[in-house]
Amino acid sequence: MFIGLIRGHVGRILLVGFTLLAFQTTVFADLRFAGVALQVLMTFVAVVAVVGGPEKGMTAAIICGVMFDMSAGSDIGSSALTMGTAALVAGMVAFINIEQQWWISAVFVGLGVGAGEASMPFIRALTGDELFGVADLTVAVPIVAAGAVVMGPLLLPVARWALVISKAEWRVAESSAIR
Amino acid sequence: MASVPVGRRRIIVLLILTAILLLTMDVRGSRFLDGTRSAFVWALSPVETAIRVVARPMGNAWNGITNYPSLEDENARLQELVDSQRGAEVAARNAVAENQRLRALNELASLADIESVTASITGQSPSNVDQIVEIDRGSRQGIAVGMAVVNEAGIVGKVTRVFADASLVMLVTDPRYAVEVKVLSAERPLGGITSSGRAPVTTTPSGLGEEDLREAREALGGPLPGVTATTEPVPMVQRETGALIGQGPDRLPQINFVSNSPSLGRILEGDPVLTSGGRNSLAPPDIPVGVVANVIQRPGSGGTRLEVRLSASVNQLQFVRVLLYRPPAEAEE
Repeated sequence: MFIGLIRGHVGRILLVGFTLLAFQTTVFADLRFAGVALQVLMTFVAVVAVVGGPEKGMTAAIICGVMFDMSAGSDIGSSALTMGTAALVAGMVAFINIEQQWWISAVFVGLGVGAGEASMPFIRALTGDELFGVADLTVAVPIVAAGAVVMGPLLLPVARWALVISKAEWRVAESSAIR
Repeated sequence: MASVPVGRRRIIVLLILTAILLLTMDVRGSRFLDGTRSAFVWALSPVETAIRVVARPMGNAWNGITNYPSLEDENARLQELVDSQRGAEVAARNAVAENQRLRALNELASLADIESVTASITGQSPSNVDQIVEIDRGSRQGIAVGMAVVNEAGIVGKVTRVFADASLVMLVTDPRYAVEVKVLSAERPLGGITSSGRAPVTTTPSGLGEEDLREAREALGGPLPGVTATTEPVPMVQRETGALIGQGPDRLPQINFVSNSPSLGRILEGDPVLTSGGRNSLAPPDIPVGVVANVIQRPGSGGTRLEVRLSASVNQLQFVRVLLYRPPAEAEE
């Protein structure tokens, strides 16, 4: 059953997302930079969007966002929307006509995660919460985005495994991009 | 830049709609989602525990590097505070015992009569927006949503979600947190005489008898700083009630809608703030909240806004007490 679960990309995203969520709620919630927690789960979603396109990123956003909300006690679906924002922005990398190198991916991951973090108070406002936390974004967004730029390249192989992209496939994709 | 193909666009729209549907279902209340959430937290808990055990040395090292200078300063400041409060504690204990005796005589409930569950903090919110911590006690220990959470210093927050052996506590600094409070203010002296007509009188130390004082001195193994002579306790009057609302992690909570009635004197910085209780309030009366830090006068009919410095340090919580208190209106149902 377990083997069957991790054969497809949904099962793999679920597995990786579950593991990263456990890190997010422990290590990353405790080790804060200037009081800001880095968002490893959202970074993973953005990396999936960079590797597999925005629709795969949205799938990861739904899976990881729902798990995040279940754990954090927030309204289920709100984090899926913030992570979805991150996925859509990061997924834009697929539509620019330049060579896709690792640092470009990292920049788009940072942009996506920054956009996702910035959208959080506005998405929470949809459910009736007051529009709070906007002032804190000036500190939180750059730190979270910078963290995502650093963590993004490290999560690239994980995202490729999660999306069942074989080594040969992404090597070919990379070499054709370089040419 | 190329555009997103129609098929991909449909998938994205469908997934966004799925998220909105889930959000709507959860906001309206869904037993299925609540059950799934409980099961998920139960499944995640052992993985979190394992990671926490492995990562603890790393976390301690990080905190040691980043917080060492501030910890040294804080340690010195706290030591000073402990010294200055050692004497006051004896007087306070006496006052508490006297208060409990009087309340018992008059058949009034006090905070000490309310059952409570002690819990330790097991984690904090992974989000940068929520001010929420997780505790290791849940519905099995009698905890329910809405119950007030306190520590030795005062109110800390309230329970917002309950699982079998864990709960989530929204801290008093969360902008969604609100509690009914009252502001007490001393009767301000007018030319050396209080508004009640009595002049301040110097009395014997702390209201303690000679025998009690000797016992306390022996127990502490030295002199009692700060209890050599005190004045008569200044009578406190309830000024006004209002709603205390959190403002975020780095800002002081505020009390809105307090009308400043000149007939009762002015609210000043340092005036104590306590929960007011009431038939529908989830928090019982007289839990210390903090002291007034700033009084902001708003123009027109805006009234007065108060900023409150909390008694409890919500950033450094380790253990808390959940008061198993139900508001009178709910208990009657």
